Amino acid sequence: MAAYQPCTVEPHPNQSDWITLNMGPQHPSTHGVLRMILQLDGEIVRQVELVIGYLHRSMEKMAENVRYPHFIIECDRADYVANYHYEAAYVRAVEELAGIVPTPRAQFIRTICLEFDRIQSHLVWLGTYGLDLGALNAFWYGFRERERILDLLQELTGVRMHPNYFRFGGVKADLTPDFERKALALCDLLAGKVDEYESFLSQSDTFVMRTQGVGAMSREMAIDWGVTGPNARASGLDFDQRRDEPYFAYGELEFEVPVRPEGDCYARYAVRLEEIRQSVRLIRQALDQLPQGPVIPAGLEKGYQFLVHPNGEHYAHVEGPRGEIGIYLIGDGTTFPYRVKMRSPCFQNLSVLPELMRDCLIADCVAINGSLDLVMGCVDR
Amino acid sequence: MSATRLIWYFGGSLGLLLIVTSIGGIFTYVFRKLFADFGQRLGPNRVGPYGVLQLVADGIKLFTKEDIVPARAERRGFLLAPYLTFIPAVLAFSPIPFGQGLLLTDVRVGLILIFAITALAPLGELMAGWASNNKYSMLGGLRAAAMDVSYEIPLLISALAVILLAGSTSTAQIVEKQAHLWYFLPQLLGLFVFLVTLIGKVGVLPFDLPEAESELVTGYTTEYSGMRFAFFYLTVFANVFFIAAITVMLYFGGWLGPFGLNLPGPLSFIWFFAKAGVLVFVVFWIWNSLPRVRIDQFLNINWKLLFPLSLANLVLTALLVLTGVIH
Repeated sequence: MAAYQPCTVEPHPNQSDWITLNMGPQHPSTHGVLRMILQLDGEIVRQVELVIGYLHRSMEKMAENVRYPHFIIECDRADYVANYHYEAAYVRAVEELAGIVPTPRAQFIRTICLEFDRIQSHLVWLGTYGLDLGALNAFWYGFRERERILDLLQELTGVRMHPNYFRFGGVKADLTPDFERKALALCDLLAGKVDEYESFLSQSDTFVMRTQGVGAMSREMAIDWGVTGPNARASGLDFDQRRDEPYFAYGELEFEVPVRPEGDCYARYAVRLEEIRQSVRLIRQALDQLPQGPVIPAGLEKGYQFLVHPNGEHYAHVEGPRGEIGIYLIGDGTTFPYRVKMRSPCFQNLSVLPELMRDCLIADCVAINGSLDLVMGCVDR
Repeated sequence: MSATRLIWYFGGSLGLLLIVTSIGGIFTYVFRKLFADFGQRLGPNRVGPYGVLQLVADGIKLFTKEDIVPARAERRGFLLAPYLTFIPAVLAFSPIPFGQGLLLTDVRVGLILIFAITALAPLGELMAGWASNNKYSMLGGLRAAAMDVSYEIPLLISALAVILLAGSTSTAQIVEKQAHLWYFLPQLLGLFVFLVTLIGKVGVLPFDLPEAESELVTGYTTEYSGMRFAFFYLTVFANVFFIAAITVMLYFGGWLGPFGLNLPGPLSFIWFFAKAGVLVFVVFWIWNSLPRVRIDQFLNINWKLLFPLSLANLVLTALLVLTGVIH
């Protein structure tokens, strides 16, 4: 196939010929309740205006009215595709502010959970992105493996989604007896399946035609707009919290951070696929090095969690599947948080959208929106 | 016109309508089952054995659904459009021979008649898109018209090569001429262009731009519900059968059996449907495995690849016929 050439249609001098197309909040490919007001010149998108807030649940305010552990379950709902990551950021913020040292075993269990969570989040993305581009079956393949991951995590936490599993200082419960065996088997399965997805999509000319060179984001642009996560790494920004400021057990594990310089939709896709491979690698190592011991420190079991009363300000962040998830926490020495600010990676990634979509076709508009992996729950909080 | 002719035409038309409609209906079930298999799912399996009665259940649902006309739609156009797309889809089958002697209208310009009828399809699509008074519908209708118009050209040119080979535009004669050589052998290039353009014209993945769910919701069918939607839905599947039927007729020897294994008279429809079934499976396979192309890529493929290819094929075929290699 010939290299991609951007569509070269001269801009129409008469703006009164533009049509306003209201895409969303109810639309198959806005991935939730994003509303895009497109100014169309024929099929070409000239201007994009984003309207958000349809999923606003005022989580930050809710945090101020519940005791510290009660907000963990609320964190699951912020990014409803990657439940564990907001939990991790919040738990980390509270722990670091209150001076709680988590047990080593809990750190490894958390890392395993987070990496499985990252894989299943990327699989959801892969499936829905395929759907955006008309590759209908990518959806079923992606969700097939995701279900296996959710089954495994359900054994561990009791629920498929919204686990409420992390606790200050550790996790709710230790691993189930044959969790390690099942997790390793799942790792083997996933490693093979990634190659399968690659053979379906990377080798499909149509998929490459639709993604290569579309929605290119430069490195400078990524920095200017505060884009993080796989989107930034696909633009050549070599930055990953897990490696640069290790938390939990990441400091003891070995992995590579995939970076691609192109910044187009295809690069974002390739980075995410590679991240699934690296996550599998991380889980295998973590299971291998899993230390023995308690999963929660003495004095913090069950109801004692409610006695946590940090004082001061702290910002903690983790590397979520969509970028940097940050919790800025202010504690006033009571058992209620004074203020919880959630830094959402999706909000930052979303803000770059009008820039990327300018002068593209409607079909590209869908491809770009999908490639940024936006979760509206994460944007609106 | 004698009374027997009248009865033949009247009964035949009714029969054709029934055949095409029921085949379209069966295809919806077959497609869902195949789609499920490609995605490693089960598909419909609750209504009747293997879910075969799903078809009936869907039919009842669509019949009993409210027929909604948007308040600000262009009412007459909105109501008329489904029939304007459905009627050409059925009518296009009338010159296609399902078996020896099993064709409704045996005219000397049968093939041209087919293409003339299919050229009416964009009218209904455009009308549906415009009358819905919905921007998604309108974009879908415009895309449908643009695609139909541009893909017709390579389609006709590649069919022209077959006409050169057969020396006739009568559908029955084209099939009869293939008795010793099916035309897909000398027309491999033409077959490729013909199939791609036909898939594009009918508008199924990877060329389902007028109905691209992820972009235009469902294009020109967005505002339709109940039976009117069912007509659009049936049209798509009738068109899939049309792809198979016309390709079998032009390139795979129609009702003729392979290696001279011909079946006598009207029974030869078995060969026709067997070959058409294989082609339908191929179309569904493509439908399920390829992502959607973009509108500009779609038109580029047409004008920069398929159009020159079809012309080259025509010249090549003309040379073959002139030099007497094929006669």
